[in-house]
Amino acid sequence: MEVRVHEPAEIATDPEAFERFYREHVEAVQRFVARRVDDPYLAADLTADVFVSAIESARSYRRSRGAPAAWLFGIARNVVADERRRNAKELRTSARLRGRELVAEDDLAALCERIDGESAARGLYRRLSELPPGERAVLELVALDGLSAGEAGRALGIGGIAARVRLHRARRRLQSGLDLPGLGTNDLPEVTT
Amino acid sequence: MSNFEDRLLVELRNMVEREPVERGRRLPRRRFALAGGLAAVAAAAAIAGVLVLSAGTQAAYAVTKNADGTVTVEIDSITDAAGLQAKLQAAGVNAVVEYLPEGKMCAQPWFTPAGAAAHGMRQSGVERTNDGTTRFTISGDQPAGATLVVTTQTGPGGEQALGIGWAQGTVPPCQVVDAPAGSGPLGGPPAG
Repeated sequence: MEVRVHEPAEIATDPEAFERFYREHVEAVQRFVARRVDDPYLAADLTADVFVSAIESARSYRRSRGAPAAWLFGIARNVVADERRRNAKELRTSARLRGRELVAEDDLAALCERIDGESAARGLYRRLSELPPGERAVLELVALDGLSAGEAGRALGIGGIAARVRLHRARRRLQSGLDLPGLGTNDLPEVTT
Repeated sequence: MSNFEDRLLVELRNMVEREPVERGRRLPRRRFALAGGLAAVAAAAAIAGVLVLSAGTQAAYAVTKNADGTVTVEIDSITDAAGLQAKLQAAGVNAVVEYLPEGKMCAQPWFTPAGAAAHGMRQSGVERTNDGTTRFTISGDQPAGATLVVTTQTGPGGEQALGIGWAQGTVPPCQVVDAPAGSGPLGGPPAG
């Protein structure tokens, strides 16, 4: 993935640094979200949540967590997973900023177009729900979002080796007959150690 | 960029300008928004977050006074509201803890949300640990008249949500009413 160097630690205190960071990543974050949800208003909420969460956790950024973009994907994954967990329990989202309130009618076409473009990825995302959460997290970032196993491990704060182990287990689980129609093991990247 | 992206940028920039994160602290959360019944108060209220708690855990809560004067609150299960409230009071935190049975809510508006004063109440982000504990830390120097509000509601499936926020002045007694018919567990429309 594309790697640029802006220190995320600054985005919580410096509006200019935040704007640069936002412009650099907003499209990638929206695509990330569109690979997981198909409702444009929910996608807007989650996009806002991801950046709020990034601002809140910016000070915890370390280079060891990987490139800023991978770090942001780690945050985004948690934000979407939290939303999913709430939906499963019929609870509404919490937010400092409601992204959907910023959506005008004119925006819907672009939001929907992005969502439509990621329908195949959403199918894969749904099928991964049978995996244990730890394995799922790694596989999501690798298979859906194009991170390497090492990047995914750093983004999730578990390290590259643990990520590769989980990826390996996930692949084996899938091969051993977990019912994931349409997801051949060819869809999963090879694990290299 | 589309208009949505521009508007979001403006909001987020404002957030950074308004509340630069102090080194070593997370942003104080000031509100959360829920649909329906609770939304009326929650949109304006200084409620910090809503979290899902797992049912059936045993230990209820822990309140710890830290060496630096802050108070860390950990909630393991939504039981013994009176006990938690007493513990918070004993730790110097003026608090109201109100846990509600399934299908019920406090009549809205329930309390006056702490507005600008909330900036003075340093509260860490509410986090949920891997073992299902909800944890947050508040500073010992709250402004006079501020009351921490911890409230929860239980949905039809037994799922529980925890809201944490700040009220200005005293918090009137909760008038327990039925959550609106056909609503979700928090009084809003069913989750779609």
